[in-house]
Amino acid sequence: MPRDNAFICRCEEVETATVQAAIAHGARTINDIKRRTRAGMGLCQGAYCIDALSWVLHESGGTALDAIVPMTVRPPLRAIGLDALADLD
Amino acid sequence: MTPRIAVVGGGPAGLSAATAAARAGARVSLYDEGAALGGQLTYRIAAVEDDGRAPVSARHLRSRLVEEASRAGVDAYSAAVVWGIFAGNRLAVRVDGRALTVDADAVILATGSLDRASAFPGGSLPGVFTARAIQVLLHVHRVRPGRRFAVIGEGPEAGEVASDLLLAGGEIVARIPPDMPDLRVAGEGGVERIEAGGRVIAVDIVVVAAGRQPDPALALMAECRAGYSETLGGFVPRLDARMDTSVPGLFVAGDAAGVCGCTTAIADGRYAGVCAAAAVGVLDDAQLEGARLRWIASVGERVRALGAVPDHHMQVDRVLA
Repeated sequence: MPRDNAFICRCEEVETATVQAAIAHGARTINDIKRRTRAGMGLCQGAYCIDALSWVLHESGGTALDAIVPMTVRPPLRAIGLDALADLD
Repeated sequence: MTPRIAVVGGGPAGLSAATAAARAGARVSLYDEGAALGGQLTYRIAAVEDDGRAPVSARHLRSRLVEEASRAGVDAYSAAVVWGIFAGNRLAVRVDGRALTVDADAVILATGSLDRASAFPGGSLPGVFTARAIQVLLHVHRVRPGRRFAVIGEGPEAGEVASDLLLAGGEIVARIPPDMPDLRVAGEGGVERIEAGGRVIAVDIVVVAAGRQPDPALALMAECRAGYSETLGGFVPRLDARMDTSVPGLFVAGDAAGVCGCTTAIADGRYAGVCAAAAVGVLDDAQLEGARLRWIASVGERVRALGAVPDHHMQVDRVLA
């Protein structure tokens, strides 16, 4: 379990306590947490923090681990230049 | 027209899958975002169990897998970033400064695994590295970023990175379990000391070796059924006995299907390559059955692990944003 005042999402500098507060205010899914706190919205797009967020949702929110829905993943998955999009057919 | 199979990821699973599919008669292209093919074999040096044969070095195994793929006629690209997967198994790829769209009859995702993050006070200070980052620095860039190291973690990754650091002339001044309640890292503008269990130890670098988690991002983008599995190390796509997902023509192999390590990733890859080849019609069912039996014989535990994820746990109703 991550410690409360540590960054659970390093990209967006979101503390574990902030995620716990979001859960206390009704966040029930990874996407809820993402919209309320920005956790998982940084450069890595949640790749690294999704696991820790799932455990907080499980331990603070009481959601069974295997009932947790992963966050929505959209393109672009990596940081790419706008020229890559402009070049598409 | 020969059916086309695209493989994402050029580590042990992806290279093995590409080779198997190409040998079966498919036209195969492979895309890997690394500077060189090989995935974990490019930054690990530890001897790797080689499919029941004698252990070999990572470098040796990497050469052999790359050579086999090349001889089988696989069109392999490194520094090729797959940044999107769209309906109908269409990939968006950035390679050599060009934007490609690849339309494949089947796609095999072999995207591997990521270091598991660990949150503790001071964890974002400069000088805190994951185990994998340390291995890339040591073995790809030939840089040892300090002299005194603390390693957080207890699993095989922690032992491996500690051994790599010792070989590189580093000093391990602390081995710390990841769940120490008072663990914190502190310093002015960077790591200077680690505090845990009532002790304060001066260190240059802190290494977080908290294990690995599957990287399912492309599978999730393709919206295949997925769920959390403690056994498999995180979110994984739900696979059936032919390594395919709920999305037609989309296969997953290796760590991306559940953290498994190199030997199993190779076995997974071979089988997924054959399954994809059968799905696009270049292999018959008898050949597929032979490959299935070989896969089960070589990685029986794996088959049980993948099958140990109860189906009802994997029924994910997507919450649309």
